[in-house]
Amino acid sequence: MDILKKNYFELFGLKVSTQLDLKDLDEKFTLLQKQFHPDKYSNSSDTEKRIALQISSYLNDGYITLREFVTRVEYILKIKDFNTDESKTLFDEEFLEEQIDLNESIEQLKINKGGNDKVNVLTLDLTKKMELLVVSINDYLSRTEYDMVWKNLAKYKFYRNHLIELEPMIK
Amino acid sequence: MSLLQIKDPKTDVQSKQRFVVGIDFGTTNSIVCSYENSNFKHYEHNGNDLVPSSISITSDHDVAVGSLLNDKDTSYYIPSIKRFIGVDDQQLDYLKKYNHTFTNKDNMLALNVFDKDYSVVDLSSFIFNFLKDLAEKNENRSLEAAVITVPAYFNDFQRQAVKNAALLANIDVLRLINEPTAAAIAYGLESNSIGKFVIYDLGGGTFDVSILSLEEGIFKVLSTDGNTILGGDDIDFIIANWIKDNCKHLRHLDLSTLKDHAKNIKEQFNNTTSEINYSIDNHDITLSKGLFRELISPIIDKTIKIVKSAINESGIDQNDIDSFILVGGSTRIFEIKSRLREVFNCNILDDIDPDKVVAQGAAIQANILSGNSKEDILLLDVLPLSLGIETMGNLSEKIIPRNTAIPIVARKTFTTFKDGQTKLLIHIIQGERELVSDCKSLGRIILENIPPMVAGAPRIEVEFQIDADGLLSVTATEKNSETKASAMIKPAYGLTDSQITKMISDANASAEEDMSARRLSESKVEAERVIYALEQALDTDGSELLDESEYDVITSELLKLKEIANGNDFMKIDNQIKVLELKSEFYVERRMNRSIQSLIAGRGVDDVLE
Amino acid sequence: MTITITDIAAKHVSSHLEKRGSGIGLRLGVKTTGCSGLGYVIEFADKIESDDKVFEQKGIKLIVSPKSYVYLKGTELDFGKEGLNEGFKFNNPNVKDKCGCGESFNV
Repeated sequence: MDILKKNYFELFGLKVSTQLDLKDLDEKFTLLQKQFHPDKYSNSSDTEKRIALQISSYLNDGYITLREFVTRVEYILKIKDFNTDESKTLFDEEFLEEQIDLNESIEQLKINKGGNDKVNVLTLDLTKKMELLVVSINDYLSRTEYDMVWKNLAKYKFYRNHLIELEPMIK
Repeated sequence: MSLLQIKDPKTDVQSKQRFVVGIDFGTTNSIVCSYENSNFKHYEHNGNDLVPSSISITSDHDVAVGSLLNDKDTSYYIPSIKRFIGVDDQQLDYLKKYNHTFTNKDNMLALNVFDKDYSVVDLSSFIFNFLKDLAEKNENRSLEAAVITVPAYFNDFQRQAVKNAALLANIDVLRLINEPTAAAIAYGLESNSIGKFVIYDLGGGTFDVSILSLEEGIFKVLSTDGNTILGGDDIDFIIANWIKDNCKHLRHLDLSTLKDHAKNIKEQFNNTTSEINYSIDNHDITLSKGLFRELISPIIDKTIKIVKSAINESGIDQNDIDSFILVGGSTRIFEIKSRLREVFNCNILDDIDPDKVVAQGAAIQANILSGNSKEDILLLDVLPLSLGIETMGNLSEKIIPRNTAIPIVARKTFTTFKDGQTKLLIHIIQGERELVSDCKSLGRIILENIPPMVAGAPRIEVEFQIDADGLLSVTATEKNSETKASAMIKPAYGLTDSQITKMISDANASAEEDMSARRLSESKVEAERVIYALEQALDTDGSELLDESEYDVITSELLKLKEIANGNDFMKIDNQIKVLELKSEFYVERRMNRSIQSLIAGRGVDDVLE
Repeated sequence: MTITITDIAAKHVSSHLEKRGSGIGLRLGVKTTGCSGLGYVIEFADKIESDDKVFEQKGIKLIVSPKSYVYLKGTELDFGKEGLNEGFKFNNPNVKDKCGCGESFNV
């Protein structure tokens, strides 16, 4: 099937980019599902049913992948044939120390409930760091330095996980 | 007065109305309903469209369903059969409440009745058979297909059991849809309402909640959650136990009798009653509103906790919820409505009968899927429970996380750990917990015929496909070997297709002649449909997408089918349909490819970074 | 006696006609259905038969065959909502009793 060979950006008729207009993606997704969802083929031949199931599954997976920044960048690396094996590790002493410190302060905040101001300060700080990482990820991508893209994305994921941890503490 | 829609005579000419229904297979009651020309038809039995999901079996193994029960004194009575679907070894405690003799048949839970084992699928199929007969007798024609609803939170095992039971009753299942989603269709169809809805579905035995976004005919389920053993029955049990504890004179009554009284008491409360006076065997009982509220509040609290978790999972803000849609008989309890208003501060929709709304939604969807209606709506539902496999150390590795939109496919590559290993075992599980033993085991799949190679060399790609019914199928391929043979899949649970086919043919052995007549007419209808569809396609773009010789191949097979379809041999017809489908497969693919091109046309498919 | 249409119903009919792109009006009729007799039919009309009765109201042509007119005279075509559903309603002065399902009526 030609459709199943398209990458997800091609599938939705979008430019390969870390920055997507999510509304546009939503519209494309809906338009295509309206055409290919198995419900539209319940009276068709087994061949059509099978193809529709494959395409509809592919659309769902593509939509899920492109909707989130992290999975979107990972997918771009994948279509650039960059190996994103999970066993790869970050060799960055400074970053490691920062992570250890961050883990400690978040544990502290968890114990000392009510440290509202500190939670807010930390959240803001992490958000800013992530914004900077997005800028450098885009920059490295445009220079096709995929290894640096991957490293910055790994850092981005660390900060994102911290943010998720902090979220329930925000009043 | 029902509301009417404008019909278009132009589009009505071609379509033949097929007889399809929606079936709500409920814990307490089941309903069969059809939808035609904007009207619902509920098929009644003895003047009631709620058919109790109960079965009674005599010592001669005569089976009766619903309100047509056999003599209570001499026969065996099984109410609420749906409760037992999908109960497994982990929930044996739950079964203790019921005085049945549980056994095992076809790898499924079964009940032993007068020395015969009936699996939960057997028992459920009796209900489906009854509902099918009910609809067919009313319409005086045979049922063509049905949409069947299941609790959103049912796992693969439970869904498969329901589908198998329907197949066993000879029902062509168009689609399994989730009960809350069905309710949303019934409320949302033909309206232009857009927004975010919480479907709160408290039935007799199950609680389901789905968060849906509705826009321009797209029903998108954002998340779903629930509890398959929480329902109105639990409220009845609580009140029954309260009676037992507080009324000395009634302690001799058994719990199931008290439970019936408890249900009556529950149903008498409304927003104005301050207390209920009720009499059992000349003993008066008084239950105040305050105490009633206190007794049932743990159950309501449980449901509210689940609703909050579903909203959280959906990624939308609680304040963005437009309305709650109430489904299930238990939502008639006034206390539930007032608690929901209090906690979520939102609008409540309850104007469609909460017992019937699910069946109505299923009937609408059946009408759409069968092609009777040109309604342009689309359901995008999700997987309710994560799908995973067992890894080292009794741990679960998630392959498809819950609330992923379906259909979906996930692939995972496995390899061998011993030289020359030819078999591989994959344990498939469903659930959210870390430990495999805390999840539901869906079965173990054995990959056979792996070509012998050194350890780690084979690359066996296993594909986990969840279809639009939410059902899993698994295929495996060895990627490295030259043969690329597909591995054998052995389903370790439920019934295989061939088992079902055999069971159906056994059940129909006596009526074989009827069957072949029915098969012939089915094959003819199918041939007609295939011919019509292909001719339409050829008419539209045949000359454009096919060269002369391709066109000739398809049209000559088409003519052959037309000839054979005039005959009386259904095997030949079925065969020629297959041949035609095979030979026109490339054409179907071309058409689909072209339609995707035209949908995204006007966009530069440009592989350049911005 | 005429057949009338409410403002809101007229608005919906014209938007339906516009969306469809063709059609000269709306054909109203009755059919046998349901449990107690007759039911209503609304469909787009592409032509007018010579013996049809035509009522033009608020820019909408309501077309009725003489047979149906017997049951529909004096009827008002309305539009309403129930729950989240919306659709057309017939306010028919000829109706004596309605059946439970609301689909059919006797005159």
